[in-house]
Amino acid sequence: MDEQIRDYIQNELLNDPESPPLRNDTSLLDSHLLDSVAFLDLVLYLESNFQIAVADADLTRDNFETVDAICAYVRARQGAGAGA
Amino acid sequence: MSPRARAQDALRYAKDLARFGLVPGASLLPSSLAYRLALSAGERAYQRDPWSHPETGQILQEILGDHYSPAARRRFACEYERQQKCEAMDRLRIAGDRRNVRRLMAITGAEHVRSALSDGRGVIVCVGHYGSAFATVARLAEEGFPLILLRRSMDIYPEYAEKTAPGRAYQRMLLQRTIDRFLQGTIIVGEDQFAAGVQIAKRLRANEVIVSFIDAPALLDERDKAVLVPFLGLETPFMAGNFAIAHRLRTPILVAVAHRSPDYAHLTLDIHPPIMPDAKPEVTLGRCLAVLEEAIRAHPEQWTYLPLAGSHERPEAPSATASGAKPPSPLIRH
Repeated sequence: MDEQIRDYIQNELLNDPESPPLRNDTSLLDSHLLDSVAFLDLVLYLESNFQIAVADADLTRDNFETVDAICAYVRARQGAGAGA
Repeated sequence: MSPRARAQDALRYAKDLARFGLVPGASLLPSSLAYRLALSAGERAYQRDPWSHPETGQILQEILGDHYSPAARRRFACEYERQQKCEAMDRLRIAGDRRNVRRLMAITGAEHVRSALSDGRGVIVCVGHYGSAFATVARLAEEGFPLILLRRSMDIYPEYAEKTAPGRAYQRMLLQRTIDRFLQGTIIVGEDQFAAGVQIAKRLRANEVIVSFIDAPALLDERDKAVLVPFLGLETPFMAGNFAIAHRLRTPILVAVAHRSPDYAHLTLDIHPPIMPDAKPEVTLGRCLAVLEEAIRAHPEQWTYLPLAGSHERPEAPSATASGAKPPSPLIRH
């Protein structure tokens, strides 16, 4: 999952061959790597590829600041979905 | 501070305090009398400020590309002032009594908004500073739509910052009573763009109606993110982030234009059929602006932002353009 999400952000959202390889702890939002439209793209990507629904209340910097945070959030949502 | 300056400050303070009486006064008057007074105030403003006449006429010529006689330009400049005072009267009367919104403005095409909402992707309604901008927003809300308004902070307007304390309190009261009390919420744009974008996405995903003024050009410090869109014959920089979001969410976009009737005391808000955001954001924005432009070309005197049109310059010298200057203040001019 980490690699899939990282590759998507690197190749589809950053879309800059000059940008250094993304690490799992690279700041995405505070460092302005992603703007709000790219952020929305990411949310839609997660919803369609990981079969989760991202609640509006979850659209926070904490959940999406790094690849690690995103993965943790997706796993939590999948867990919540499975437990429901 | 000199005694003279202190006296001038005290006078400004007292005048701003006295403005609070305008709201109940205007809303108690019969509509026909209220708008006759507004027209008269517009004519006085025209007589008081002869400097603006050639400028207003020049802008008219730039927009419409025709040659107007000096007399036609003067008539236009006077009509512009009359329209401005009528819009100010709209706001005073709505502030005094919210029922005046429906009395003031009829609406056509509301079914387009309802139909678009039934798809569950939210709606963006594009409006301009045309006809009666604040009344347009209030009327949409009175139709029962869950409205979220994108607007800039009042703090960016020097006219607001330079007012006395009662002057600022009066403007805040007007804003609250003519706009905010009708809305589900507002999203302040132009500050934290990321936060604003996320808020817009959240609201659309919650199937709410975002209202966006599309005729306000990007400010100078927003230019790096702006797109150039043809508008009134010029490539003009605009922010189009909400159109990019609409594109991602496949949110329908509608354009609503309010036209003032010949009796000045009534308007009709026409909501046009949806435009799907299936092209690049600047293309979609251009299609929306074209609808507004058609109205402006028909009745340029009803466009409050007319003074800004004259400050647009050609894109080959973008750094020198004034089109990114602060837009005209939304504050009421009395």
